[in-house]
Amino acid sequence: MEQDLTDILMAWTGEPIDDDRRRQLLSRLRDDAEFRKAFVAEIQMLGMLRAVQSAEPRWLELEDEIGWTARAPRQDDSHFEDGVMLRIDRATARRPSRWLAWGAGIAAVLAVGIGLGFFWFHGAGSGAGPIRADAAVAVVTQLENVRWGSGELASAEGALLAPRRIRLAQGHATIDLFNGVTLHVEGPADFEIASLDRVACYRGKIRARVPESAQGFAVTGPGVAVLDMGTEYAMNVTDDGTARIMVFKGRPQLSILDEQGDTLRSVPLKETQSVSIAPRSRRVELAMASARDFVPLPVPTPTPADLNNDYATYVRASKPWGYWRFEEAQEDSVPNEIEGRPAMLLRGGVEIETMGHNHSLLFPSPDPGQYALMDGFWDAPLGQGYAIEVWLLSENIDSATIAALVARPAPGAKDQDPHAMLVELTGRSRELIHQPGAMRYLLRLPPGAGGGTNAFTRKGYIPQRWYHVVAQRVGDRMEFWVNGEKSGEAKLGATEKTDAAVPCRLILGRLKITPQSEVGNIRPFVGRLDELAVYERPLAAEEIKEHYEAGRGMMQPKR
Amino acid sequence: MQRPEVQDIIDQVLAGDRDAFRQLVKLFGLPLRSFLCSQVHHMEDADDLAQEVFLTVYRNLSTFRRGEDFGAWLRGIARNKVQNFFRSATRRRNATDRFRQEVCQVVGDDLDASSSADSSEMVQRLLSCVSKLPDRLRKVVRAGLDGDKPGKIAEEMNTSIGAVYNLHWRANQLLRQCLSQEVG
Repeated sequence: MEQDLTDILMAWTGEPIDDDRRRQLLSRLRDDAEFRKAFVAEIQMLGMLRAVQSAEPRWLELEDEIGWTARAPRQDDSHFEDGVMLRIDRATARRPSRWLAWGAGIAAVLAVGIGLGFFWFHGAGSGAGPIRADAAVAVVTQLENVRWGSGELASAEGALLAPRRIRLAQGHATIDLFNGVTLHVEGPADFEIASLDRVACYRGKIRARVPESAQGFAVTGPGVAVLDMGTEYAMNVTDDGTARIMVFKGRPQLSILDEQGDTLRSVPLKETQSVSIAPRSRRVELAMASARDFVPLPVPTPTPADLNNDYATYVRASKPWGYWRFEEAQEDSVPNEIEGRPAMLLRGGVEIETMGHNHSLLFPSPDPGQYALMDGFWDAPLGQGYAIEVWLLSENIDSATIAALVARPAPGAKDQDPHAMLVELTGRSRELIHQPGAMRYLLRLPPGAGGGTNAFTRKGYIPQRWYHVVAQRVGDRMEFWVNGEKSGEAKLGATEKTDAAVPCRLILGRLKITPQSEVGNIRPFVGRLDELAVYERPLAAEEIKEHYEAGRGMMQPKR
Repeated sequence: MQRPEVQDIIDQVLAGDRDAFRQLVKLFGLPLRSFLCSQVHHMEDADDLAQEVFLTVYRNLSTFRRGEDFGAWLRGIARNKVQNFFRSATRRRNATDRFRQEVCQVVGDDLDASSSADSSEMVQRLLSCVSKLPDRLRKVVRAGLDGDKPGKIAEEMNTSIGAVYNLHWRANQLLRQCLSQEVG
């Protein structure tokens, strides 16, 4: 065996080798087909040997996805050890396996009748339908090493929750309510999601982040309640009923409750303050406590969109009118990939985020001054056919604008932001009926402040996950596509047909850019967007699927 | 069992017979794991990636074009999963993983072509071929698979690390001959 082959195999298996030699070997690998063939033969054989002598893996997530209840007996066991659990134990001891991230490693899907269902990522065949808007109030967003209490029905990430009491034996669960509140619960804990506005902590540790939009939300403990908006606080309840509260942000109100559950006394709390409330006397005392005594926030794991390198090729082949990749910004301006078309201006802290080789547009906070704005107008063929395509990831479940097309206001008009089109995320609306946590697509012709036709997605979205979204008009229909599948559509009315193009500006991350006093008129988006494209025609179904698959790396490179 | 046409199985799954997907996993599981093990270092990572590939296949089976090579489609998805795996922030801090990522990009097409003939039956026959190796070569192969470092193997066999790699290379030549004879 020649020395170069030995050396590259040694480097391959982790033996130390200096950088110059490594570069030399890589260069030969690129240029010498015979050398490459010899190397491939070696690593291919190595791969076969490792695979054939290892135990057959237990693919729990695959089994759960497909709904296999019992494994078919192996027709030929002679090649695999029976010690599947031994292999899993070894793997778990070395590092945590994704397959066992949910404690018992089994995620059950429960029937609609007891209030649980699935979101996108479980796809078809889940066996459970979506919860109707009047039943679900929350979704399970993240689970870490979770084991549910005995007798408790296991919930998976993405499961919808109707009001219910929950016992968490161990681990950390993140639950997003449809009013934008995020709960972090650390087991062992006994708590209840009583309604969209009330969570009760009977025992254990709970932490709540309450946005300003969640008016009226409260966390209750034995004889106490914490209320306010735009705050973050944690509550621990011990076995003897003592409640301890720590405030991380804002100035919530602490209510001491009487036997009827009404406020007896109200105590304002300050940021970083910690108090203890005795169970019988209901006496409030300042407590010396550290943040470590309360539920920690999960370690944030920013998720890059991680789109395949060929994605842009597919988008360009569809000939967009405007295409912003958000790879870089120069003086708060992101260039349009299509020459001669307007750039996207970044305002109020919106920035390009870089993670490894990935770049996306980050909306870091719900600051009302935060948005992106197209530097010019688009004569959008809203009355005939068009499409808007984007990848998005939301930090939470809340009413938030992704993209708005705003027409030129008439001189002197009261409404300076007449909307022609809107793509937004919803939480739980008090004005519209739809699947909680759905995405909304609105077309409004002529542009204005009210009316129009809506199409909602049939399923909700989960925070911290990337979605490929296309909102388009096809003749007299609106179509809403998510991850390559049509997820919502609506038929348009006669008034929404026009041959005239509508000059519009594209706004990202905010409903209106004129100063607004009401939070509902801002609908700030907190999260990431990537690869935004607009077209002067609707995309074909095959194109949408191709784009999604290209982004996920399932398509062969476009030649 | 007689190997059924892959397209028939796909049709069954798409018609609603989810259990039929088990047949695809059985047919392609071992060659897929071999393909992944050729590229990533840890077996657990290869198995994690294999599960991801099958999940992706199951969710997108309707997009598979009739008449095309299912194994090639599977490997294409696997190649992308491997590249994404290497691109993760954690991986990129490890020099060996960075090197592997570059190598996989260079040899990807060759490895794909070379793996196209791999079948579950062929890979399984490898164990029988290992048992037929001369003692010294079999020892080197087994020790490597057990996770022993080349340095330790060299010390036990009273030879050099380079010699251990050479022995493994010779063993692989014999294994390839054995496989081609077994296939006939």
